Amino acid sequence: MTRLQSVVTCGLALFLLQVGCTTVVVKQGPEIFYPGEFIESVDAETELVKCTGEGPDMQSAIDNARKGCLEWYITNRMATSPSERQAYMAAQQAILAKVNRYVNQPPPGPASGKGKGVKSRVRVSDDKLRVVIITDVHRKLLEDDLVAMNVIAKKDEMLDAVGRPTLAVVPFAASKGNKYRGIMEGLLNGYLTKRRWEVVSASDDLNKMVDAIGEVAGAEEDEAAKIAMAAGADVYILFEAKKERGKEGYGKSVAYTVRVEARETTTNRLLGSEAVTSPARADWHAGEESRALQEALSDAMGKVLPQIEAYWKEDAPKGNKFYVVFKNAPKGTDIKMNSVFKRTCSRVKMVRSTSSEVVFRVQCKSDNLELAGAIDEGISAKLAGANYDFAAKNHNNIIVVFK
Amino acid sequence: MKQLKTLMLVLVLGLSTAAGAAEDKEQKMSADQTQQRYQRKSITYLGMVVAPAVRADAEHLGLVEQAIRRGIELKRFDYNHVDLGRAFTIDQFVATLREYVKKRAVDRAAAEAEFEARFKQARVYMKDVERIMNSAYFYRINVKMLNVRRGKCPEKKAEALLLGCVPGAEGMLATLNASVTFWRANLVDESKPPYQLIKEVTHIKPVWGFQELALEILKDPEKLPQAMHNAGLAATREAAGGLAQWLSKGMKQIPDFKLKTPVQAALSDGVEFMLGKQEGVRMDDTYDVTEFDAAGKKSLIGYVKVRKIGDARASGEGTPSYAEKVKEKKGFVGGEQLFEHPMIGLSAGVSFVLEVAVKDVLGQDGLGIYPGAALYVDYDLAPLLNWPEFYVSAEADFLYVPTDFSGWNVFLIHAMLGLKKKWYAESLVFTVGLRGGISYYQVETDLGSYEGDSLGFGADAYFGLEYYIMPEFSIFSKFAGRFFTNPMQMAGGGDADPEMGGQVQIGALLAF
Repeated sequence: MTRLQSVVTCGLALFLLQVGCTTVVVKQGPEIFYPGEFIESVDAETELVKCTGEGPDMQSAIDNARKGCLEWYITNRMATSPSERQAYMAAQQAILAKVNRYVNQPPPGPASGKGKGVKSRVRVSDDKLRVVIITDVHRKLLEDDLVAMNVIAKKDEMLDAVGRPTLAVVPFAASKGNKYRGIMEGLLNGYLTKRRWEVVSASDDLNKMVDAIGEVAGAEEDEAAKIAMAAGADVYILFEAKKERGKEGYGKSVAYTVRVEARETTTNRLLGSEAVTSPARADWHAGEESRALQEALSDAMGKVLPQIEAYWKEDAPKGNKFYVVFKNAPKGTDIKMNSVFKRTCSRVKMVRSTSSEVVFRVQCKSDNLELAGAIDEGISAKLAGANYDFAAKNHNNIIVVFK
Repeated sequence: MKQLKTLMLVLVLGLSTAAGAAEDKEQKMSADQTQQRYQRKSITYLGMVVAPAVRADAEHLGLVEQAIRRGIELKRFDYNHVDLGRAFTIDQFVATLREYVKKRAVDRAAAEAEFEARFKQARVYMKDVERIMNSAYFYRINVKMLNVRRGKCPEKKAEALLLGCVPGAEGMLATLNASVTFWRANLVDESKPPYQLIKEVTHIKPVWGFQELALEILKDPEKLPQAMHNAGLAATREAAGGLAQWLSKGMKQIPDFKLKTPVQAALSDGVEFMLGKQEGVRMDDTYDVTEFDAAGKKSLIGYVKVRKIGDARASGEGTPSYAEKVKEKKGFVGGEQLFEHPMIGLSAGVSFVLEVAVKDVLGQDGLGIYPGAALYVDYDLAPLLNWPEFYVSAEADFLYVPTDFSGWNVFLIHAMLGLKKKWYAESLVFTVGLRGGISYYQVETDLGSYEGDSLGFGADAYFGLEYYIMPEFSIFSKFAGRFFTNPMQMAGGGDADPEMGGQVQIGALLAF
C-alpha cells in the first residue's frame, strides 16, 4: 500500500469511527409484552391468567402486564390459526386499547398471598419496575368482540358450517371400576356443556356396535375408542383420577391427580393431554375432597380444551372423518372401494385388509348418509351381485356387513 | 430489530415455560418476598413468674399483669382461649393447644384467603392450614423487680420531668422491671420439641411511677395509710403502663409479629395500603418504605405515617388506610413493601434557648437577654384522639439571667405543660404550640444554691420548624412569644417587670 493509500484509509477509518460513535437517536419501538400463563378457569366466561409487565411506575407496569395477558390469551387460546393471527395483528392496537374491557385490574389480594393480585414487584433499573400479576380475563366478552371484529370466526357458525364436533367422556380402562367414575363423568359433562360443546353419552349399552367396529388400529385405549365411535363422538376424552392422601401431625390432607387425554375418534390422533394435581386440602373439613377433585379436573380441562378447539378449527374445514368397516368383504373390496373413496373424499387411508374385514379412514365433505349412499353406489357398480347390509351409518363410522 | 425482539420473546417464553413446569399451581399463585403481607398469629397467655426477691402483694402484681397483657394482646393476634387448668406439663399444654387450633385452623385460614367464585367460598389449601398451625405462640410475663415505697420525686429536673412530678415532692414511688418471653408452639410435627423460644423482650432499665401525697394527708395519721395504699397502686399502674409500652414496642420488632404489607397505591402525598382496624393500626404509626431489586436486595427508600385508618380485611376487601409521606429518598411509584416501624409516641428533646425580654426581669436597664437550655418531653395523643400529630408537651427551660451582683448566678426556670400540633410537608414539619406553666428563680452563690418559693405564672405560644431525618431523630427550631408574671412580684417585689418577650430555640429530638 502506498503512503497516500494508507493516509486515505486511516482517514476513512477515523471518519467511520466518528460516525459509529455518534449518538444515534433510536425511535422508541413498540411495547414489548411478556407471555402469560394459564392458571385456572373461574367459570365458563372467565379465566385466571398470570402475566409479567414492565414500566416506569406501578400502574404502567401493571397495564403492560395486562396487555401482555390479553395478547398472549388471544394468540394462544383464541386466534390460533395463521389467518386469525394475521387478522389480530391488523386490529392489535384497537384491541389493546380496550384492555380494561377484557382484563381486570389485579385486586389488592388476600393476606395468604394466593390468588388474584400483584405477585411480585422488583426494581429492574432506576426507571423501570417489573411486576407479575394474576388477574381475570373475560373470555366470553373477548370472544364475542373478536368475532364482531372478524378476527376469529364465531364458533357456532364455523362449527355449523363444517359440522359440530361431538365429545364423549370415557374413563381410562384402569379407571372403569373407580368409585369416582360417575362423579367425574358428571363433572366433565357439566364442564363441557357449560362451554357449549355437544356431549354424547358413551354408555356401555353400545356393546353390539362396539363389537362390530372391531379393533381400532393404533388405539391404546381400544375399548374407549370403540365406545366413542359407537356413540358417534368426533373426539373422546379419556379421564382418570387418583386420590393422594397426606398425613400431618394434626390431620390428613387430600389432593387429586386428574389425567385427561383428548383423542380424535376415527384417527386416534392425540389432540391434547394434561395431568394436573390439585393443591392439597384439609380432608377433615366438609366438602374439601370434592373441591380438590373439581379443581384438578377443571384445571386439566382448561388446558386441554383450547388444544381441542385449535385442532378442530384447523382440521374441520377439510371435511368430516369416517371410520368405514367392511365385514366379510369379498376379494378385491379393498382396491375397488379405494377407488370409490378417492372420487368422493379428500383423504383416504386403508387401515387394514384381511380375509374378514377391510377398514378405511376417510375424510369427506359429505355427511354420513351421503357417504353411505356413495358406498352403496360403489358396491353396486364394482361388486355386482354382492349381498350386503349397512350395520351402522353413524355420525363418524359406517359398517357394511357382507353376507 | 423485529427478529431480535421475536427471539427475545421466544427465549423468555422458553425460560418461563421451563420454570413454570417445575412450579405447582399453588406456588404459581403465591406472592414472593417483594409483596409480603402480615398473616395473623394466635397467642396464649401462660402466666406470670415472679422473681423470689419481689415482695409485692397480689393487688400490685395484678395491676402489672393487666397492663402488660393489654400491651401484648393486640388486635393483630387471635387469642387461643385454652383451658390451662387441665394442662400440668408443657407437652399437655401443647397437645391441648393443637386440638384447639386445629378446630379453628380452616376458618382462620379462610379469613385470610380470597373468595373462590367457582366454589363460592374461600380458597383454603393444606399449606394455609399448616401456616395457621405454625403460627401459634404463647408467652409468659417475668416480673424481675417491683418495689413500691414511700419516697420523693427525684431532685434531678430531667428525671422529675419524665415522671411528671415536682422535684422533692413526697409520695409513693413504684419501681418495676419485667420482661415477656415468647415461644412458638410446635403443633405440626410431634417428633420435634413441643416449642421453640422466639425471644425474651426486655426493657433496658427499670421503669418508675410516682404518685404524690397531698401535704394535708401527710399530716393526717388516720388517713395516711389508706392514702399511701391508693397512691402506691396508682404509682404501680403508671409504671406498669409505661413498661407495657416499651415491651409492646419490643414485641412488635420481632419479625413474626411485625405488620407488613405492600403499597396498594402511591398518591402525590402518601400511600394507601391494606391494613387497618382489624390489625389495630393506629393514627401516626410509622412504616418503613422499602423496595427490592431483581437480585432480591432490599433498600429503604423512605418513611410514612398513618393519617387515615381504613377497614381493610385480610381477605383483600374493604377500604385501604392512608399514610402520609414523611421521608422520601426515592420517589414512591407503587408496590413498595411497607414494614412497621414500632414507636411508643414519646419523644424527648434538648435545645439551646435565647430569650429576649422587653424589660429585664431583675429590673436592670435595657432588654433582658437570657441564654439557656430547654428539655422537653412530648407524648403523641393521636392514637387516643384520632387526630394526627397532636401532642401533649411538657417543657422545662433554664435561662441564665445576667446580673451585676458579683458572685451570684441567677437562673429563671420555667416548667410548662401544653399542647402541640404538627403538619408535615414531607420532611419539613410545621409545629404550633400553646403552653402554660410556672416560673421561679434559682440563685447560686458561693454560700450555696437557693430556690425561690415564689412562683410566676404565664403562658407562651410558639411556631416551629422541624426537619424529619428519621423516625427516631429530628432537628428543630422554635420561635415563641411569652408572657409570665415575675416571681419577684409574688415575693413582694411590686415594681418587678413581668417577663414578656420572644424566644428562639434550636435543638434536636429523639423519638421512641
